[in-house]
Amino acid sequence: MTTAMRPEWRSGWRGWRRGRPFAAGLLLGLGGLELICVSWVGLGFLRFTGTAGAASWGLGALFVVAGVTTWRNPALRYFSGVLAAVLSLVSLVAANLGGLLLGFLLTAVGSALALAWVPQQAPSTREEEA
Amino acid sequence: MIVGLIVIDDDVPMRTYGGRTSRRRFALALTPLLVGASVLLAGSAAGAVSVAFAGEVPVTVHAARISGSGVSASPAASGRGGLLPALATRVEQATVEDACVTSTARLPVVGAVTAVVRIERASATGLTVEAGKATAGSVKLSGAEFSTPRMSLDRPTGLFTVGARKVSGRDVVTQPHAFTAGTITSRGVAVEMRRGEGGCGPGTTR
Repeated sequence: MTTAMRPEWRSGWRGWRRGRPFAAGLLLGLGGLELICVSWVGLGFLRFTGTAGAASWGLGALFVVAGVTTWRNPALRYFSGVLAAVLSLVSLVAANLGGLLLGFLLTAVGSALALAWVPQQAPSTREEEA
Repeated sequence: MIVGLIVIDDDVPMRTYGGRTSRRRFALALTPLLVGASVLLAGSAAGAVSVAFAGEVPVTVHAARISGSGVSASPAASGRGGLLPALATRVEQATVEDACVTSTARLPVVGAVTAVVRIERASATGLTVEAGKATAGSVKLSGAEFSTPRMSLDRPTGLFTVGARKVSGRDVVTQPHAFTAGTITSRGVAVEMRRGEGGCGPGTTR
């Protein structure tokens, strides 16, 4: 049974992945977590957080939200993409040089991928509608 | 809202409304971002843009000259779980000149790699440094104070605090565990990566 389930599960996963800007959401989420991690590792104590620590948490959370939005609702990819693009530039100044540049690169590429994603109409749509 | 991007039929295993990434759009979206980032980085290197930092970096800092105002220092514990004893120093306004920051990372295949950052001049506001070790060639304090909270004459109740209105020092070497700064503005930054260990002693700073 498991061998019969596996291809189905795999094709379902592939379909889910292809039906949305998957790489964009993944990179945005990873970039957001990276921003948080860079700040988290160095915190030691919360009282030493400072503005950059707070900005890392805030921006990181927003990137994760933008990534999840592109996955859950690809129609909002322009909104989340533009938001993430602007925030990635803000993170350069406000959050440890954009998570030591790695977080910036991840979120910049992720936002560009979200903006560049074009949905394709399935050829069967008309048949089903008819 | 798009719901049901995947259509499953009984006879056909899967039919998806796929998507593709337009390379032209990707380039159009990424180019202004990278241009903006270059401008921001160039601006911060030139001192026009302040960059906020908070974090823990295993580095050694050599500075030919430092000066600060509104300094207070007290013993603390640094690291997760308070494992490392450290001196937590709070400086309202700090300026460092001819500094050299080295950090050595031991990578599995490559071996030791040392990053050397030379900074001509950097100033920071709201700087908090937790350092385990600091040495200085000479230190000048003005308006210094030392206080120990006490309940009675012979029993101190808390940790001591050393403070000063103005501090200046020469040939300072410190190994901060963690630091936080409101803003850091630097001028004349040069980054160099080297194979092997080592770094810059006080004599090699410009």
